[in-house]
Amino acid sequence: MKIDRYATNAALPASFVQSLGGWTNQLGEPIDPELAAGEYWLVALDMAGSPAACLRWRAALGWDTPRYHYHVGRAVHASAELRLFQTQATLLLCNDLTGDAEIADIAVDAAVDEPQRVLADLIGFALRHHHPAGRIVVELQGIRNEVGESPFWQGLGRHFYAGDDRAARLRHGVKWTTHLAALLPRQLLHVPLLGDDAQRAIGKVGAQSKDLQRALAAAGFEYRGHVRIDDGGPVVELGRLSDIDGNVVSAPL
Amino acid sequence: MNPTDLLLRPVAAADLPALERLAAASVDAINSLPKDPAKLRLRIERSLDAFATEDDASGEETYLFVLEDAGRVVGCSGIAASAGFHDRFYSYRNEFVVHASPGLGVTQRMHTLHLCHDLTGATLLTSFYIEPGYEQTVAPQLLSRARLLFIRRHAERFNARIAAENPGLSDVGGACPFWDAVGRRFFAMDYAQAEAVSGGRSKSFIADLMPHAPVYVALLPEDAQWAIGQLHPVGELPFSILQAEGFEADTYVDIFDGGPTVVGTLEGLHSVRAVTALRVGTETPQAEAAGAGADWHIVCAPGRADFRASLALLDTAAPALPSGHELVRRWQLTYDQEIDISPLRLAGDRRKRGTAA
Repeated sequence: MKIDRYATNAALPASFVQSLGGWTNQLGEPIDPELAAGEYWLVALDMAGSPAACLRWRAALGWDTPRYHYHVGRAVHASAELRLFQTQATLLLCNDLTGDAEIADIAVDAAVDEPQRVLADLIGFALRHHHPAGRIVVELQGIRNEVGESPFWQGLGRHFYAGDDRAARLRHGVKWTTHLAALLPRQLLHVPLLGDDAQRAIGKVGAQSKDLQRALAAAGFEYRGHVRIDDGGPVVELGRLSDIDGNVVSAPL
Repeated sequence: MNPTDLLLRPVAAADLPALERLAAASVDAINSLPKDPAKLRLRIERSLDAFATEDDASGEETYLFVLEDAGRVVGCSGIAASAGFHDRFYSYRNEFVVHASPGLGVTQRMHTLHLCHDLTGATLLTSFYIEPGYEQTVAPQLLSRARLLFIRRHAERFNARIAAENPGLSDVGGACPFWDAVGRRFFAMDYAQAEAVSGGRSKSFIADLMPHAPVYVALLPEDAQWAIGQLHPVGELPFSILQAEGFEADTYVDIFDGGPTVVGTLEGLHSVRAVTALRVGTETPQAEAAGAGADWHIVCAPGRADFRASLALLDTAAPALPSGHELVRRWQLTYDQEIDISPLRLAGDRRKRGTAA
């Protein structure tokens, strides 16, 4: 398998742009070929030279538009007198991943025989060629039921945005969660106050991301308590948080 | 019932059997009157102490009044000088937060509940109970409102901010939708259990364990949302009296059962605004017969341990209380002695004049 790298919009071959039209990324969204600053495409080609899979490398996420995730934490309610010791999961809206490298828009052609192996090759290539100072993160799709509804969204997001989450995601692309975050509570949310289905969906991977999840796990990516704010899908992470003090990280101008 | 037979006075040690009778008749876990005789006796003792305390009132005092009809105790009501005296007094405050996303073109008004200590130190009206047979009479008016006239006369012992908790929704089995959706998530026990565990201590003992982030009402189950600020039916009578008095019910709810906690400022309450002092004068021709100018009033002998309140028909056009008025005889008032009077019918009240009975 051959892997090509395209760093500018002008360099994108027509065959790749055409393939993207029929693919969806790991979140189930259509893919826009447009590259922004600090981004490039890695495209895996099959024996015949046709695009078989792709990923978008993003050197630093959240610099142009703030990106939001939920940090899944823990709160303890304890009273020796009441013989009460209860731990609970909490959700806090955060920008923790800002400045981290991101692998986005990961897609495999439906005709590929061993999608997991192709993805592993593609991710392996990306990791061999890039050594960011900090973390590399990948968002995975959260679980959805037969009719495409996300239990996490039903339990949380829909109370703050009455519109259709999937339609809004398609309309706003990468800025969707930025816009959504503006409507969500800024304070700590106690997970038991959400419905049972929503609680169970936190950090769970949806069908669209299953193959990818295995490939990423094999490459060392792990879930460390960050989830997507709309469907509760996990963010998997590789590497340490940059040694640079988070407070002084600033966007390259 | 003859309204002039009603008398409100501080509780006495001899009232224990009567209070036990009232407590037994009141609804479990809702009325703040304990059923345990030992606890009732303690309440009486604390009240006796409170009324007896001279000038060094600490704020810890709890006062208990009883209402007699022709000598028989038919109700009680109380005052706690300072809410959460030794500790913090918790409430949920209703707040509306507008969330806006210019990107999505959406602004959304969100109802939230904020855990707060706003009412710590406020004076609390407590322990209201009246026999069901008196609910449709003027007796509850006297029982509830005479407390405000007492507070006004002894203002140095109380806070200018007055509050009263009202029972929230719960069913006969003790299930409480607000508690089930909020408190239970953090305590994993029934409301009744939680109350028992806290052992009658200040609720702050439990409240300290509640989450301090605001509760987004939209995330609660529907029955719990509905219960916010809703009254248990047994609370309707005392609540309606306080509402007519000018208490406001929209800001605070109980952190356990979601019942409304009403607040008001002493000087803004209708009974207090309408108070005038009247001195015992000399005999006048219209004394005995209540004439066309006479109207029902709550009347108070403004002492502390000898505080008394009753109902009387008074001619407010008269400059003084005629010495021949039956109240003078009943209370053994002397010439020039001062009493406080406040019209039974409040401003805006549609009840007709002189129809107290």
